[in-house]
Formats: sequence, structure tokens, C-alpha cells
Amino acid sequence: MNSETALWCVGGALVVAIAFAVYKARSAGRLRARIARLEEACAARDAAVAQLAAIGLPTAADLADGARPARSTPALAPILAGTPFADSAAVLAQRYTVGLGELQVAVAESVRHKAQDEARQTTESSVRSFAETVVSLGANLSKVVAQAMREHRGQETFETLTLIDHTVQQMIRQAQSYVVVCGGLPGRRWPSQAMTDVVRGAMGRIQDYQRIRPRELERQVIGQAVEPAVHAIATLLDNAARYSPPGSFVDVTFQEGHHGVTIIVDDAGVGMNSEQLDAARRVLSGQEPVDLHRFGPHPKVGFPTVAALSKRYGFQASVDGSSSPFGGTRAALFIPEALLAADVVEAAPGAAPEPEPPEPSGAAEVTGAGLPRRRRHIATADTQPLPPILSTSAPRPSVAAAWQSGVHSADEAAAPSDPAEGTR
Amino acid sequence: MTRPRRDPDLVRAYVVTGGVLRPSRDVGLVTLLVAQDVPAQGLAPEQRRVLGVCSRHGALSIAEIAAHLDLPPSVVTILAAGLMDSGHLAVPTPVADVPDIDVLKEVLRGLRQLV
Repeated sequence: MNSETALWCVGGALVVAIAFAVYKARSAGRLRARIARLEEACAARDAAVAQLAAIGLPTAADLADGARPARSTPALAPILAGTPFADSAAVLAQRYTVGLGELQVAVAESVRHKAQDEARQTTESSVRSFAETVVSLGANLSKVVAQAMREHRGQETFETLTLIDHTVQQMIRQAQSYVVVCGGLPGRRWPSQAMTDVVRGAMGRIQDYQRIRPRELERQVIGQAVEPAVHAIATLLDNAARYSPPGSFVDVTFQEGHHGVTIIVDDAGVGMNSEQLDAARRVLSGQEPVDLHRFGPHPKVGFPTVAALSKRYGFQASVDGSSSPFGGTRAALFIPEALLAADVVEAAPGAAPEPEPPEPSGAAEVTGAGLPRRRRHIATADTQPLPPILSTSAPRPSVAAAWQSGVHSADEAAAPSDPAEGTR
Repeated sequence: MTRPRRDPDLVRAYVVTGGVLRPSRDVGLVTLLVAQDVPAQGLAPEQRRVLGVCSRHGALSIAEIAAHLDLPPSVVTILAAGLMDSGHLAVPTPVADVPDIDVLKEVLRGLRQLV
């Protein structure tokens, strides 16, 4: 009985052992298969990362050629399909290609801007340097002409000098516009001047100055603002005269305000349509940056010049298509109080009678012939009247006439000396 | 009293004469001019200066006016010719206004007393 029992036990244990062995063998097979799958997936991931690196690097190197980066997602082995890895890889590839594309565009843009800036700077500095030379030579020439007008007295000489002078002044204005547009400063310096003379100085620089009818205003513009103001007003006057009929007048008036003085230029031209007005306002207000490269073959430097001067000195320029009393265009230039000198102190009433205008100072400076000595610049007026040549009282026509007839008879006596020296 | 400095180069000569290049009449540098009592309205600044200096100094020649006002003589000639046209300036004529012989005698006597 005991041996039978033992046999059963051994048999049972054997069965259990065999079953266990079979189970283990199956389990090991499953594990091996799983390991193989995992190894395969791991290799697929390595391949995918290698591929990402491979498509990424050459594209970055291609940037310089301007080629667009290839916009691809890495090809994944089927085993990775649907895994989080596949999703992440796709996102990564996408981000990379998009970022690369943006970078490429940005780099191209910045290179282009840099090249343009350099080209603009080169153009500007050469145009400016050329224009400054013209202005400086022209200013010298106009000094020579002014001096010649004082020294040579024939009327023919005066006519010729005047024609030369008028041309030179216009040349200076044109050149100076380019100086200002290219970021330079108006180079000429003046002492402070009455508004009247600022406007008349501007008139001298345009072709049709005879059609300008200026009012007068004694307010003084400070020295450093005179040349920019003259130049800006000359530009507005030139515009007004150029775009109005040859027979019409251009009126210049002044509006004295609390914050400054406005110079108003009214013409009787055809006026501007609303688009032209808008364009002019954009330029004048400085919203449209001045760019030499965009001027084209027929550059209009007028309004850009006024805008540049306004920005630098604090003027305000404007145009209006409806408020000119002549149906044309009204242009206005506001000069702020800061650029105006304090009012001229007037003499107390009853003091030395000083009728109109300033006069060369210098009772003390008298030539041997009893005439006041000429001076280049007039600094102050004479508070002390010149020694009277004939009489201190009212004109004495009789005495003058006696002197006159004496002079004439002397002239006649010396008549055949030089007929070419006549006044005509 | 301060007066502004006037830069003679800022306002060009042709603007001062209003574009007139030749005098409208024959005026010599020594022609004497006397201001007339005519309102100076509507005149340009330099024309008023010429009138002002003439009325202050009695009679002045073109050359003297030019020196006083620091203007080129040609410019003053043109301005003065214009002012003569408009009646603001006149060349004094001796015809009817010769001093009386008695006055001259008085002057002579006075002068002798001075010597």
C-alpha cells in the first residue's frame, strides 16, 4: 500500500513538473518574441531619429542658396505607427521645417535691408557732398556779385549782374534742397532778420519773383532759423508760382498768433485734387519718409525739403485746397515763438525823430568827402543824425537848386570827358 | 533803442527794385533829390527808406542816399526814378524860387560880420 501511494505521488509530481516545464517553455517563447519586437521598434526609432538629423542638417546648409527647406515628415517603420513617438517626431519635424523657413525669410530680408541701407547711405552722402559744394560755391559767387554791384555803376553792368545773380540764387536753392533732403543742414548763416526780409530773401530765389506780393511784418526771426525759413518759404513760393497762371499774383500774408507767426501763401492756380492734397500732406507732415531712391527720374524735392526742415527746426507746414481766396492752393508755414526774437524796442515818442528804417550807424564814420563810410553790415541805427550837408531844417529846394545848377554847369564844362560813363 | 541788423546779401538787388533793371528816367549820381509831401502808402521798404533819408537830410544826391542806406548806387537810381515818377521825390528847380536880392545882401552882410 505504501509503495502504491509513493508511486502516485511521484507520478503526480512528474505531471506537475512536466506541466510547469511546458508552461515555462511557452513563456520563454513569448518573451523572446517580445524582445524581438522591442528591438525592432528601437531600431526603427534610431532610424527615424537618424533620418530627422539627415533631412535637417543639409537643409540648414542650403539656407545660403535661398532654397526652401524640404517640408517632410520622417518616414516611419510600420511598427511605430500610432505611437506617441511617431506623433512627437512628426511635431518635431514640422516645427523644424517651419522654423527654418521663417529663419530663411528673415535672413534674406535683413540682408536685403542692409544692402539697401548701405546703398542709400552711399547715394545720400555723395549727392549731399556734391550739393553742398554747389551751395558753397554759389554763396561765394553771390557775394562777389553783390560786391560788384556796389563797385560798378553802369546800368548795363547792373542788368547783367542781376541776371547772373538771379540764376545763381535759383541754383543755390535747388542744390540746397538736395542738401536738406539728404540729411544736411542749410549752410548759410545770417543775423536775425525781419519777417519782411525773410520773405523777400525767399522771393529772390525763385524764377517768378515779380508775381509775389508780400505783406510786411517787423517780427524778427532769430539768426539760426533765418536760412531754413527762407529756404522753406522759397520752396512754397516756387510751388505757388509754378502752378498758377503767369499773369496771376501770389499773395504772402502773415498771421501773428499766440504761439508764433504763420506765413500764408495763396495762389490762383488750378489747385490740387484731394489725392494730391493727401499726398502733399503726408509728405509735409513727415509721415512719408524721404527716400532718395524713390524719387525716380524727375525728382520733386520741394515738399520733402520743407518736411525735413520742419522736422529739424520745428516749423509746421500745411497745404489747403479750399481756403485760398483765389480758388487756388493755400500753403502755410508756422514759425514757433521759440524761433522769433523779442520785439524791437521802439524809441520813446518825442525822442530823436526816427522816421522809417534803420540807417548805417556812424556819424563818427565819415569819409573825407563828408559821406558816411560804407560798412558791410549794419549793426545799429544812428541815434545821432548825420551832420547835415545842406540844412537841418526842412528841405530847402531853393538852396538845393542853386547847388544843383552849379553842379550841372560844371558837368557841362567837363562834358567831352567820357561819354561812356553816362548813367544809361 | 536797438535796430535789427539788415544783411545786405539776403534780399537781392532785383527784389529790392521789384524786377526793374533800368531806371525809368535819366538820373545822374549827383542829381539832387528832395522828398515831396506825398503819402508813402504802398511803397516798398527800400523806397520808404530812400524817402525817409531824403526828408531827414533835406536834399541828397543819389550817391549820398546809396551811402546812407548801404545800397548799390544802381539800385538807388532805379528806386529814385520810380519815386520821381510817382511824385514822392522831385529835383528842385530854381526857376521861380530864386532868393530875393535883399535877402542875399543880408546874408552877405551877415557873413562879413562873422569874418
